[in-house]
Formats: sequence, structure tokens, C-alpha cells
Amino acid sequence: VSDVVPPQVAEPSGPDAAAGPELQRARPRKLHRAAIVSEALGQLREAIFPVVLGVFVTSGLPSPDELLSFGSLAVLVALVVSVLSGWLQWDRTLYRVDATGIQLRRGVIRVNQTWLPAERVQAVDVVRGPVQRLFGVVELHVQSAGGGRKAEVVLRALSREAAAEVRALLGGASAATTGTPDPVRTVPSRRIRRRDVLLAGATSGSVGIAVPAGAALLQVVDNLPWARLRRSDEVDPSVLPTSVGALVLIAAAVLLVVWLIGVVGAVIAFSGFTVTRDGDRLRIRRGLLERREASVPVGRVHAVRIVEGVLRQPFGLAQVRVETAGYAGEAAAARTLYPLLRRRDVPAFLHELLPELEDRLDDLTGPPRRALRRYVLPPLLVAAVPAVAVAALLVPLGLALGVAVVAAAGAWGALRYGSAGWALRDGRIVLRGRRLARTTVVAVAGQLEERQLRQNPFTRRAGLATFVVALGSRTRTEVAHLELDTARALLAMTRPR
Amino acid sequence: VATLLPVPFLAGRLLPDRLDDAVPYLWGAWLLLLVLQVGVVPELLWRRWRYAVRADEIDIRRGAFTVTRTIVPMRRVQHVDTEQGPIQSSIGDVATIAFHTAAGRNEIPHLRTSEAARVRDRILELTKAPDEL
Repeated sequence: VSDVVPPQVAEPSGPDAAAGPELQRARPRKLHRAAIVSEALGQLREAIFPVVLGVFVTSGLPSPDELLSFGSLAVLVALVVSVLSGWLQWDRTLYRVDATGIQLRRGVIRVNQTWLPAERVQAVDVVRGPVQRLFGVVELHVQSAGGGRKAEVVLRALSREAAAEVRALLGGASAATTGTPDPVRTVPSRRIRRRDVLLAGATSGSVGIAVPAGAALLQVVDNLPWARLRRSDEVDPSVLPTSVGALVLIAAAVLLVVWLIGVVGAVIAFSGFTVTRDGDRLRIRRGLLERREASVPVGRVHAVRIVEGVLRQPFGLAQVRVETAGYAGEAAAARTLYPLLRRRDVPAFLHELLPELEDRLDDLTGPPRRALRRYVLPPLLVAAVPAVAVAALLVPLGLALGVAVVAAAGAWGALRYGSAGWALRDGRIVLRGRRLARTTVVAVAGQLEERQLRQNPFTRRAGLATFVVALGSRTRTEVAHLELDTARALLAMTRPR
Repeated sequence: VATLLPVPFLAGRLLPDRLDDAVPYLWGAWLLLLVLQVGVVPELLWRRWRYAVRADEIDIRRGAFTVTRTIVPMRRVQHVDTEQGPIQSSIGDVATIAFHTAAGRNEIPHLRTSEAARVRDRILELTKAPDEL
């Protein structure tokens, strides 16, 4: 009988337990059991729609009784299946992390292994959904530079200690969770006040979307056959609005509701918004229901974007966003760095948290005077076509409307001219422009993804050109109709060193 | 231009009768645009296309009426593709070089296959040069 060597069980290796120069392979570990619940809920959410659809397709429109019995059966089956599959998923999910990287193995039938080397880890984000909060655990998203929309490695549920270890090993740790925080060193940090969260919601511009919607609604309401409705017996006449005043009131109420939804959305997204500069990382914590924590390496921040929305600019308010290169997720890869700030406080804010891209934001050079009409005329002409058509159709009212539209288009062009400007100083490029919101971009001059010079036949004859830069998130920023020489100089001076 | 097709069509349906006279002109304008788009624009586009692959950047100038010059630093290029569709391989044996940066895709279209391969290899070689530090 030969000796059976028992499998070696490696000692749990914390960050301090690294024995040799070669870090020993860490032992594979399971997630916290809360992952079962999290997985099961995810499965349920995915199953609901097909199940409901299936019920209706197979049995037509069931009677209430059928629906109840069949429905409760379906719910029971779905519950059992999802809990079972959640347990299986949890049971077959293993991760292993050390200083060289993180490895995740998951999948019940088709096994899926992901290996993410530590040097490719771009950020370790902490997400705390309702389930995670209930169990006092966290969800970790390990993001790499290349990836698509989703994080490459998602660890559904980890105890706080396990999460802290992963973050310590992969470089996403905050000063609070690793080592001994230096009591003297104060980390620059800003936390939003509740009042500002409300203000951010109130000025978020979701009302802007509501205005045309409200107008359309008003149109529909206006076209309802009121007289017939009033005469018919099926509609209780007391619910019908009786005057134009009542209609306006309804419209105002709709607007108010949409506006309130905007405020609630901001409260959910931005409550407790905190941004911290911790060495070479920016940490952003936010969220009311789901606490999200993201960490962005400063080296990946290629630009800051200061956005003054239509409703914010009159009050001197702005939002600050960062553009990170190749960051997975977040459609525009543009993250909110701070939801609401006085514009004149932005330079101080950047000085404190992101001095790499600090700029006074003013003293910009605008396009030449002779470019003004090139800003005003095109929107004016574009607006004139439908305006003339409307004016021809509805002579008295349409004429006024047409004139108003054309004037607004012209004014918009003039505003764009007034907003446009650039500066090149201390290795930074500052560009300002406007679509609806006035936007100022500060970027490292030598780090632009693309630069463009654009001319149409008219500006070519006039010796003007538009200068365009592309930043990491597939957004382009331009200053239109500069002197050709200026644009050429910008093109040359933004060359990578 | 194809997206403009509904304009004269809808105008014919929706405009009140007294404006019916205008509809043939709209169709005429649409046809003129179509002829321009098919007969003139491709020729202009082809004639104005310029590209240069330098050691530190790729320089592209393109456009029929609005001419855009795009400069992409070599160190920002993430990967390079060669693409050849069925039309490209049957007519003239040409291929398109597409290179990607974090800001999106740029292309040098319809190069002879041999030249496309050369350009691709050159870009690849130049992007391999140590970047970032």
C-alpha cells in the first residue's frame, strides 16, 4: 500500500503572509453566501418577462382564476429554480487573487475562466446594492483598460475583509482599508451638501425634455372632441376640465411631476456624493439606494469637462466631469466628478483634487469677429425653411411663430459664437463651446486622441477653419471658424511631445 | 439622400391643396441631389482622399465638399484591421485599412491589396515602438 499524500492545503496568504520573493499561489476561494440571493434575484428578474409572455401565449388571455392558480405555480417554480441555480452558481464560482492578478472561474455547465493580470486592472469599483447591504457585504467590479461595457470580473458578494484584501492586492484600496493611515496627512475630499443635491436635481434640465412633451400633450388634449364627451353618458362630466385655465393647470401639473422625477433621480444618484483624492487615484462614492464606489487612476484622466447646463448657467452653476481613456462601462466613459459647483469655484476645486488639469478657465481667445455671421447664418437658414412653410400655412399665428423660431435660431448662433474660445498654456489645452449647455474642456495638450481641421467650401474661401479634438470617450469638442493660421498652429502645438 | 425621400413624398400627401404646385419642385430637388450623390460626390471623395503614415502620426485628409484633415498620433493607435468586402475583392482587388484609437475608428479605404498590406505592416511596426514613458 503506497502512501497517499494528502493534498497540500496552502495557508491563507494575506498581504503580509507573502513568504518568498515569488508570491505563492493564493488558494481559490468562494464568494460570500449572499451571492446566492443576488444570483437568484438576477435570474428571477431575467425570467419574469419570458414567463409572463409564455403564460399569455400558451393560454391566450386566461381568466382571473386560471391566472391566479397558474401564476402562483409559475412563481413557485421560478423561485425554486432560481434559488437552486443561484446556489449552484455560488457553489461553482471560485476566485483566486494575489499580487499578480485575479482569476475567476464560474459557470455550472459551461465553465468560464477569466484571468486579469494586476497591471491591466484599471479600477476596482465597490457596488452595494440592496441585497449586499442586507447582508453587510459588498460587490466588487474589477475593470480593465480594454474592456467593453461590463466589468471583466464581477464578484457578486464578498465580506468586507475579503473585499479589502482584493483591493489591497489589485491597487484599488483606499487609505482607510490598507496599512496605517497617516493621521497627519489629510486627504483632499469634498462631500456634497443635501441642499446642493436638490439643487442639482432641480436644475438638471429634465424639464427641458418635458416642455415639448407637455406641448404635445396639450395639443392632444386640445383636439379631443370635448363637446361630444360632455354630451355622452359614459363619461362623468365632472372629471372633464371646463376651461383653458384648467388645461394650463393640467400641463403645469405634468411639468411639475416630470421636474420632481428629475429631482428624485438626482437624489438617488448623487446623495452623499463624495470625491476624494488619494495619491494617484480619485475615489468617487455616491448613491442613495445603491452605494457605488469608483476609483479612477489619475493617469487615465485625459480631460475635465465643465458643463454649464441651460438651467444652471444663469445661476453660475456647473457640473464637473472627467473623461477617462478606455474605461469599461458608462456609455460615454465620462464620469461625474462633482454634480454641482459654482463655476467660479471650479478652479479651486480642481486645484485641490485634480491639480494636473487645473486651469483658470477664463481668458480664452475667441474666433475672429468676421466669423460671427458663420455662426448665426446656418441655423437661421435651417430654421427659416420650416418657419416659412408654417407661416404660409397659418397666416396670422404662424407668421409670429415663424419669426420667433428664426430669431431663436439666430440668437442660438450668436450665443455659440460668444461661448467659443480656446487657450493653450502650461501644456494644457482649453476649449469652450456650446451645443445647448456651455462646455469647457481642459485636457493635456499632448494627450489628445485625434486632432482635426475642418473646412467647407465657404470657410475655405474665407480662410477660416474649425479645430476639432477627440477625447477618449468618443466625444469630440470643437471650436468653429478660427483663422486658418490659428487652427494650423493649434494642430501643430498639440502634437505629442 | 435616401433619407430625404420621404420629404417630397409626405409633402405631396400632407400639404393643403393650394400648395400642390410646389410638390413637383421638391421631387426635382430630390432627384438633383440623388444625381449629385451618385455621380459627383464619389468622384470628388476619391480625388480628394490623401493619407500619410509618418513615424509619429497618421495624417488623413478627406471629404467631398467639407474637407476634414485628421491627425492621429501613432502612440494612440490601439489596433489595425484590414477589411475586404465582396465588392472590394471582385472589383479591382482593393482593401480598407481601419485603425482604432480610444476615440473611435479611422480608415484609409480602397487601397490596392498589396499596398494595404504594406501600410498595415508599417503602422503595426511603428505602434510597436515603446510608448507611454
